[in-house]
Amino acid sequence: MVRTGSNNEVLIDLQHLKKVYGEGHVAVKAVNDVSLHVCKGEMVAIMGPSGSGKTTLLQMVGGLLRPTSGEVFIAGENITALPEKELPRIRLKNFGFVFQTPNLLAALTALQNVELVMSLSGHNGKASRKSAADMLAQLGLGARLHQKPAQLSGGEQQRVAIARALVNDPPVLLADEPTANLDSQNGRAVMELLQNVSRQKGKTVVVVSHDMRIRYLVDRVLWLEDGRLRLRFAEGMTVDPVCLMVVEKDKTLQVVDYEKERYYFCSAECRREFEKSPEKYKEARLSSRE
Amino acid sequence: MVSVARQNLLHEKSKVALSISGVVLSVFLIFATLGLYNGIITVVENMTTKSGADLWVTSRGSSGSLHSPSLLNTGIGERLRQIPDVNKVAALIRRPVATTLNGEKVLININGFDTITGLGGPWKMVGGSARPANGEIVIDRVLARKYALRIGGTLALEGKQFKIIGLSDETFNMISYLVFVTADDARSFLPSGLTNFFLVKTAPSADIASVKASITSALPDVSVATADESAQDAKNETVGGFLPIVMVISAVGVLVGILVVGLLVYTMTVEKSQEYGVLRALGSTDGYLYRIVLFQALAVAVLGFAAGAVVSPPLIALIRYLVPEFVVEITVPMVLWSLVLFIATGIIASFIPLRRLSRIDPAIVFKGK
Repeated sequence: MVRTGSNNEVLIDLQHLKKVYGEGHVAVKAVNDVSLHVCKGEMVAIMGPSGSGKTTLLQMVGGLLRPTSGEVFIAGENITALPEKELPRIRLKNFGFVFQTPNLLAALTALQNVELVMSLSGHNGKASRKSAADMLAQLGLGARLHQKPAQLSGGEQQRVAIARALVNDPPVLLADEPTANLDSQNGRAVMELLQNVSRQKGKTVVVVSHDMRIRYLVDRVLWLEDGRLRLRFAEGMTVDPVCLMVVEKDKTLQVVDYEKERYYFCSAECRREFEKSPEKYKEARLSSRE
Repeated sequence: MVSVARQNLLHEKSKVALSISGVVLSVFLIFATLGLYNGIITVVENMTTKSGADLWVTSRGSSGSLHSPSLLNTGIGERLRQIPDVNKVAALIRRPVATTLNGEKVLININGFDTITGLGGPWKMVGGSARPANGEIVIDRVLARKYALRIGGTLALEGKQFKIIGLSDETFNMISYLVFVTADDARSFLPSGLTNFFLVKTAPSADIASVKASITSALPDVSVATADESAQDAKNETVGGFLPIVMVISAVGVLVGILVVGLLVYTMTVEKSQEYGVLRALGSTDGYLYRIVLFQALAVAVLGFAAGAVVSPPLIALIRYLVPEFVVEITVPMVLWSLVLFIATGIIASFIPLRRLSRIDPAIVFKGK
């Protein structure tokens, strides 16, 4: 179990969380006995290879998916015990969501997309419109209020999505691969924005990502593999920079030295992939120190 | 409040316009069908209520409709005049006659009325005189238009030539045309000493029910009905058979409306599944999503109705100009009932995507596009 953060007030408390898809011999444990505390104001990245259960875990934290077993406490409230009809209220009150794609409503302007969330929580009229406009202005979109998503760049759309996630002032921001569809410049800008939100507004931010670059911006990186959290890499363990699988250094023959660093791979295929364009993968190298 | 439903509709202008056109077609179908039904009712009712008579005297068990045979001895007229509070009595001869016009067999109902009292004469004229002399005739305007008959021309009925002196309206009931001649001329179409009806006008201060009772008492072998009762009987006998047909066509119109609106809201729901999933994930309730669909369905149904209500009357007028038999009457109650019907259409159509809507998983937002 992990317990760190800027203070000791636990906001997200996961207890032996498990999610199994299917039954019998075809059952797949997407998340397997994950327990975790995330404190108020903390920014946590959950990383891991594809299919490791990152998004499933995030969905359960956000009340979008029921766990097979275990419990999710948000600010002390056990949301897994609540009936289905209560969950929209919980999501509205506690979470701001930022998705891989901005998921803005195409027919609404940037302002209306943000205002919509206020409307859902019962805040209407000029005051809510002003709050939405202020939030967009804070994120540098003051001049783009009346543009529809199709008229905005990918980075701008993602900033609108962040404004939408923040406008109701939820204590927790859940972000699923928020930089996946952005170029490196916009991706970094979005991550810095999330970092500022966490630092300046005291929001708890949980980011699920493949992007190894974000590890420098968060308080804590959690490694999820095969549905289980690995707190840190044991001595002699590293990550295959291509597929992000954990590799035991002394058990693999697939090794490449590049620019004074040694890289380890789970298979010859990953090694060949790396050799084709090492620049693309060198950032993903994760040393055992992390 | 941000109206997602309104913005969605505005965002899909061509699709919405097409759907509204479908609803307009449906409205037109209903207006035309109900209007046709109303038109027939109006003609049938006016034939008695606008005859100028307070009471209709017929053979026992008969009514004043075109389809109800009634034969009375002309001597009854004199006995009716002797009943207290009877002001005027006029014989009315109404006989169907088949004739050939432009090589086509045509059913015509001759209305032989008393031109002195005017009881049973034409009630709505569109040209010429309403009071024919012997040898003259007032004909229905649809008949005139269809067979190119005009005032000043002639019409032959059972070998007798009549000079056309006027054109009447509301005298075509989809089956036959009503024409008006003098009672004297009409007698040649009946055996002597007989008439079909007697029309009674009571004294201005008289109680019609009392006069009716007096006639029933004095002449137990005849039937007496007020003009309204007679109109009701005529309506039942004439249009009762049309009603199921009218209902079926109207139901088809409503069904078309429901399907058009339902298809629109269903396709919009399918296309916007991702967005509905986003709304779910953000914290909207099922009720909120349903209200979006309901608003969209109602908006299209009501806008379609409004456009249909504006477009239908001139379209019907055009059709009526091209096809004179298309006698349609659009009434305010009919329009209001149709509005209620189309609001119901919108509500019913909004249920079509309900199952789909309830199955949208908010986790869809994590799947990306």
